[in-house]
Amino acid sequence: MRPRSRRLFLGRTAYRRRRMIEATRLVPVIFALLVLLPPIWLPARFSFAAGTIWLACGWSLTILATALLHRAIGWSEDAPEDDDDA
Amino acid sequence: MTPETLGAAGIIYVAGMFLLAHAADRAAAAGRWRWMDSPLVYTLSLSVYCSAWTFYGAVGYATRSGLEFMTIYLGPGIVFAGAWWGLRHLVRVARMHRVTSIADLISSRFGKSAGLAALVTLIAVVAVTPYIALQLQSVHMALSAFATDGRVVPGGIALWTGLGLAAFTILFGTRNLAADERHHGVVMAIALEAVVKLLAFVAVGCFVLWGLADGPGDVLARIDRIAASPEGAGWIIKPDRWAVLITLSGAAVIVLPRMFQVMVVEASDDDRLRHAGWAFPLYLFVMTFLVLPIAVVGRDMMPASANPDLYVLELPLSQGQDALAGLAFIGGFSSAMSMVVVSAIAVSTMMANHWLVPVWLWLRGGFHARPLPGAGREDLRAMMLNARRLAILAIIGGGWAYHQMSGGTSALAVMGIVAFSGMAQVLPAMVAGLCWRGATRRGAMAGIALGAAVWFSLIFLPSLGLIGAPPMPDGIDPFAGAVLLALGLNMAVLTLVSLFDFPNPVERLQALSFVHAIAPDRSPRDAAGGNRAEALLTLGGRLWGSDRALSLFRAATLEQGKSGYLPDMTPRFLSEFERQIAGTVGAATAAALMGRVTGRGGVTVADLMEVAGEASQARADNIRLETATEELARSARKLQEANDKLTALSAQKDAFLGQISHELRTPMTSIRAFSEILMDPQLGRDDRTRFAAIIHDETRRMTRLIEDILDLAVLESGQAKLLPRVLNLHDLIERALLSTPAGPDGRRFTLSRDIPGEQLMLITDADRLLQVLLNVLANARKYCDAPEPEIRIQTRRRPDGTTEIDIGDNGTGIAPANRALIFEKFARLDDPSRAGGAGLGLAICREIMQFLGGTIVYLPGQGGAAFRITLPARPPGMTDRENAGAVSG
Repeated sequence: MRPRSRRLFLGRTAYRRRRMIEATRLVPVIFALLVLLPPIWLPARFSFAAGTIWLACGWSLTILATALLHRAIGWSEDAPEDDDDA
Repeated sequence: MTPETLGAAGIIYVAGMFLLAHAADRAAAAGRWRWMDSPLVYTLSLSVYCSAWTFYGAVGYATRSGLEFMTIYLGPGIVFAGAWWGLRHLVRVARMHRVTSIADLISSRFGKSAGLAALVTLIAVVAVTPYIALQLQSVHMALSAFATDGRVVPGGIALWTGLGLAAFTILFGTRNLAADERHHGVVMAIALEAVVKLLAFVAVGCFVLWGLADGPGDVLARIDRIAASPEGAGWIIKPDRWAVLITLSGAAVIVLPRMFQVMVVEASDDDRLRHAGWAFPLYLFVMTFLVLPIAVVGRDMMPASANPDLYVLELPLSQGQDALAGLAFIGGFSSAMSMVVVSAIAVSTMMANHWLVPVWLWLRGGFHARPLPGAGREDLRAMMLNARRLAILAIIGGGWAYHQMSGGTSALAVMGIVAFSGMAQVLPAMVAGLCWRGATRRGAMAGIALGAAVWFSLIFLPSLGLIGAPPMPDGIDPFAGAVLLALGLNMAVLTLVSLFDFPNPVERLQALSFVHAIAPDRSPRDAAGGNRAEALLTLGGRLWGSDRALSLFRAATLEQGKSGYLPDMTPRFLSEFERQIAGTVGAATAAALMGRVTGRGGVTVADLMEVAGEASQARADNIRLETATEELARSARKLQEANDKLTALSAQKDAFLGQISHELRTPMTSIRAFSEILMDPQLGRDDRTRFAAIIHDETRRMTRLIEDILDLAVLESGQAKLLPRVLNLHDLIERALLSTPAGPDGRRFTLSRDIPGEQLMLITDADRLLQVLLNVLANARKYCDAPEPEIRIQTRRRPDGTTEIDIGDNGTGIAPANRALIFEKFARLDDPSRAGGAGLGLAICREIMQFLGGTIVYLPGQGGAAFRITLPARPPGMTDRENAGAVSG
């Protein structure tokens, strides 16, 4: 069905890019857990200054990670992600 | 600074926005849009998420409830962290289908359902009207903050603001109907407003953070002091609200009409999400963490009677920083303006496409009725634009009416959250539609309807104060409980109904296309008839103007390798054209319009099986390739045939010239020879007479030949004049038989005729037809080599009015190889002496028959040579009146 046969192994660049894409999928999940779990678990502790610092650090790190990952993925986004193995 | 000065500043600001939007629109029209189309402008335009509520309400919210206000920004932060993963699919699919709004996306995904689109539009309108009221109220409220010594700001402010914004929206939002619903001027204005509100908020924030407080450390210390105070209890995070609000705001950033408009509809491609994925959260981050110091310091410094919603203005004012407060006012005004304008554009598009136009179509005689008013000269384009303008006025007017009725007292925060929770009811259907092929229209309809009903009764009505908060078990926040209930029921019903439903074919095609982001090119529809192309062109012209439509058709025609403006109605072209229309009027209306114009029926399950199954893709490609190859081979064969024919014609022309010279030279030679002999004075009288007779015969032969050639030339050049009259076929055949000379040996022919059957009245040129009959009969007499020669003549009239005359003999006939030749000029099959003619007879017959609008062909398999002469019911070019004249004459 696919026009070209599946490659079993990718080159270094493509392999790296694939891992970066997986990392971008991970970031929102980690951020969501970071934001949701502590305040739900220990509301009293995270409702004031400590919570403010926690959220500020968590969010800024997330923004930084997203920016770096998106930069790493680069301009060349053409191959569909699930096209090949590895 | 007085409210009047600020009002004037606001008006100047709006005027500036008008100019900017106008310049951007002009630049875009001139093709200088590129630099404005950058990811930066896209990211800034996303900040329309921060409405006036962020400016005023968020501070009040933070003062009352602490960190909970952050949920409104954390949700989008989470969603955009996954921008490249989830949002990209959404934007890509939506661009592919030229989606015009969130309602259009849902409707398009679920089989272009008009009902679903109308339902989503209803929710959007109900949710957005109070939200717009909130923006108008914020302007009024902000101006009041500047009114000193008890002056009252006139209540007309909200009305004038609304009118100004409606004018802006109508001017720049409904300027044109395009195949992609993008508004460059509006986007540019919003991007600039994003900068203005960021600058204003940062200015106030920095002033508070470092001017009134001692930096972030001091603010954190103040926060911890609140923990110890009695109000600290209100700051404790409530886990249920925390989780629900983060979910809601994450949903809102996708499904709010204004967000969908800037994020999906105005996006030129999905790559810009790579930048927006971190830049937009950064924008929100800055806004969020500036809210906190303003709230905390405001709470410490302002009197208890002050409205926390106005700390942004009152803190600078209390310190005598009038200019800063003025800047903050402009920032707040800016956010109100961008929110109202974009919301109005988004919701008016939905209302026009999913409410007004379907109703208009329905009024014109049934939604699925066939004929589109082709002759009726309604201008669809003007109708669409006016529908949108009307909708904009209705939305902003509705917001103003709501503001008047509510009295402008409700806390700002509540309305935003209510709108979020309402639109969030659309999210399950959207996510399911994009990820799950099994989600069906009925499931989506049931889920959204149920969720919206629960939202309306448990959240919306209580927020208006019409009924009390819903009773919830102890320890559960009423709002969070209601949202969970609505979303939970929504998802449960969506899943259950979808699992037991069987979707229709269009729906299944769309599901495939949306979930796997496959361009819906292979829509399995019958190619419509040729004149449909013109109807579609008319439709396109009435939507976009004829220039745009013509250029689109031209491009499609060129792509198909044809010339002119009317492409073949291939399924590919039809589905592309339908998507272009969908980019203007929405998928459901586009499908209905196309159905009317092309008169196509729906897709059948069999079609679907044929095309949509994944496994059949390769086969379909194969078939397409084969078809193309066949087509190519056919064209090549046609070309080859044409070439052969041309070569043959050229050879024939040479042969004709050669033969004519030959035919003329032979009698010429004998005439010259005999006339030379005649010149001899000693020639005997008998010889003289004999030779003169020979010369006479030869000149007659020459004359006949030249007459034939002239006759042929006249017929071939089309200069012959047709003299039709009414005649009896029997009489004509009689005349032909009488004047046909007997064969060379004077043999007697048996005639086999059907005299009563010959009594047929004909309208044709009698002399010409007689000429043909004579020729054919003469040939039969000449060439029939049977010992007992017989000529058969049969005539009949066919049901379609044509008349057939078969003339045959019982000779050996013509060999198959020669049958193609007999109608050619100078084609004599055996020795010329026997024929005694120039060989032009059948060629002339063929030309005459063509001239009479009929044919003459050789009939094989008749036990001899046989010809069939076919005559049309009336000669070509004859009208009824001439017909009557010929009959009476």
